[in-house]
Amino acid sequence: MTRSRFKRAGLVCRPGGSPWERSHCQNPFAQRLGNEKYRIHFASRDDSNRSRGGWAEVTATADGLTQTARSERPSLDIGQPGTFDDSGAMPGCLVDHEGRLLLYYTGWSLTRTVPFTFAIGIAESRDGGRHFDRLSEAPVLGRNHYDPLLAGAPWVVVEDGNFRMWYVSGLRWEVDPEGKNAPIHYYTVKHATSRDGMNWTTNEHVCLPFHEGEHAIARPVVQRTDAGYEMLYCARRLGETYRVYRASSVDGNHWERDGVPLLDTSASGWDCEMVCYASLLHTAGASFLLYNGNGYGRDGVGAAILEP
Amino acid sequence: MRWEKLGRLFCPTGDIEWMRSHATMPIAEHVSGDLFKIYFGSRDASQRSHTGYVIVDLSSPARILEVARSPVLVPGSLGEFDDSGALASWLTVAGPTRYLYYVGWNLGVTVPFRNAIGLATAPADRSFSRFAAGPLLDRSMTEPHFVGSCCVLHEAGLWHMWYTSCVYWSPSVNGPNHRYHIKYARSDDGIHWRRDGRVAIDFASEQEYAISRPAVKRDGELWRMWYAYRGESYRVGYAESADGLNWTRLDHAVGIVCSESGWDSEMIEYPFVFDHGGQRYMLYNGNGYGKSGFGLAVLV
Repeated sequence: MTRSRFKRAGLVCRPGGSPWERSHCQNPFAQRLGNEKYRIHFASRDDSNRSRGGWAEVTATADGLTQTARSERPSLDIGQPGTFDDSGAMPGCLVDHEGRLLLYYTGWSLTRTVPFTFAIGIAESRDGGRHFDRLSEAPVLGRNHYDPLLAGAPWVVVEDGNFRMWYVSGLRWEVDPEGKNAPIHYYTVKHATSRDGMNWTTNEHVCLPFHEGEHAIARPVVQRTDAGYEMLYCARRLGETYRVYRASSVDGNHWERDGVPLLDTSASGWDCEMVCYASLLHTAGASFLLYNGNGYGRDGVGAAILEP
Repeated sequence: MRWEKLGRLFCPTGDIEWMRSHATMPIAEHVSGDLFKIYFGSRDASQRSHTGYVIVDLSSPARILEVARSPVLVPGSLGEFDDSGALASWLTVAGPTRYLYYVGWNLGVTVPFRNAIGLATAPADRSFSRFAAGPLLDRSMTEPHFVGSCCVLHEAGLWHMWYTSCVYWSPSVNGPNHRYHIKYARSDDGIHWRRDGRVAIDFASEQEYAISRPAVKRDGELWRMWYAYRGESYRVGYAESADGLNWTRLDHAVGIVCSESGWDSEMIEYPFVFDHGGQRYMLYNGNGYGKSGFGLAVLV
C-alpha cells in the first residue's frame, strides 16, 4: 500500500465552553446525515474532567469541513453514582442495525489503587443521533475472564449479521518504581464477537502486540478494504506521546502494523505535541482524517485532507 | 429452634502481618474426626482482606490446634477486581476439586468500594490457586453496581448460588449508602452462571439496607437459609423454602441473638451452618464485622 499524504486543514470544532464542555472534543467520528452534511460525535469534559457525549454538525466541501450546528446539551450523560460510567461516558462508535441506531461507548470509573478503570456500554438514539439513552446501567463488556483490568474504546462492525468489536483491553498496571507517579497502564487492542451486540465473547488473543517501549495502544477504528481490513489506532512509548498509525489485516484478527506514523505532530499549534484518536470521513469531494491533538483532544477536533 | 452459644473460637492477636485484625465470614471444612479447618478473611494494616484459616477440634473447640502461617488467598495484582482484598465466602466440593468462591474488593472514588465474586480452585488436600485473573461474577446488565458474598451448593449436576446483589447507592451527608439483598443464580459447571434477576431474600422494610452472607442447608424437601441482615446493626436471619427459589423469611424464629455483653453484644452476622456427629453447628461473627473474631453455636 502506498503511503498516504495528508494536508492539514486545522480545527473543525472547539470545546463549547458551557459547564459540561469546558474542554476537549475527544474521539471524533462522523455520522452521515446526507447532502454533504455530517455529524461529528466526540466527548467533552467538565471542570471535574468528566466526559459526556457531544457533537458538531458540519458541511463538507473539497477544501474542508464547516461547522453549522452544535449539541446544546450532552448527547450522552454520565451514569448514576456507583455505576460503571459515573465518572465519564465517552462515545466510541455508531452502529445502524435493523432500524436501530446504537452507540457503543466507554464508561469511566475512578478507583484508588490505580487511577481509573473503564468498561464498554451501549446506548440507543431515537432521534437520529442527537441524543442517546443507555440500554442498561451496566456495561455490555466489562472486565471478564480474558480482560481482567479494563475494556474500552469500542469500534463495532456488523458483518453478515454477526457483530465484531475491536476494543482496548488492559494487560497490566505497573507501579512507578520511584513511587512519584500513578501506576502506568499497559493496554492494547483486542477483538470480541457477538451475535446480538449485547453478549460478547472474548479471548486471549492480542491484535496489536506492543513494539519495544510501548505501553498504550488506543482507539482502534476499523474499515473494510478490498484486501481485508484497515485499522487506524494510536500508540505511544513510555514517556512519549501518541501518534496515529495504521495496520492491515486479512481476517481482522491478525494484523500487520505500519512502522511509521500515518500522521505525525505538526511543527507548532494545537497538534504539535501529540496526534491521536483518528477516524476517517469519506465525503463526495474528499476524504478527511478527523483527529485530536495536544492533551488528548483538549482544543477540539482537527481535520486533515487525504491527498489523492 | 434455639442455638446455644459455645463461645468465641478465635480472634487474631495482630502479630501476623496479613492477619492484623478480623476473622470474617467463617467457613468450616471437615479435616478428619472432630477436626475442622475454619477459613476466614483477615485484614492487613492497610485493611486488605486475605483469606486464612485455623484448625480446631470440635470436641474441645476452645482449643486452636493450628493457625495458618501464610494466607490461602491473597489480593490480586494492581488494577484487578480483587487488588484490595480477597475474602473467602463459600467452599464447594465437586468430584476431586474444591471450589473456593470469594469476594474481590476494589476501592472506588465516587463510591467507597465495588465487589465481585472470584474463584480459586484446588485439588483435594492441595493449595488453592486463582481460577482466573478476572472475576467469575461481576455486575451485569440487570445488576449495575456489585455482587458479593455467596453460598454455592452442588447437587445432582446443578449448581445453585445465592449471592449478595447491590440494588443502588444513595447519597447521604456521610457519603453514599449501599443497599443490597440476596439473589439466585444457576450453573451447570460452577463456572458459567445464569442470572435472571430472581430475588431470594428481599428487604423486609424501608429501613433494611443490607442482607448478606447466605448459608443454605437442604433438609430433604425443606431448604433453610441463614443470613445477615441489618437496619441499624447486623442480626442473623432465617428463611425457609420448598424449592430453594421462593423463600419465606422467619427471622423471629432464628433462635440466636446478640449477647448482653462481650464480643457479640452489638451485632451478630455472617452465619455458616454445618452438621457434624449428629449435631448442627453455626459459626458466626460478632462486633465489628469480624473484628472481634468468630464464635460457635450448637442447635439444641
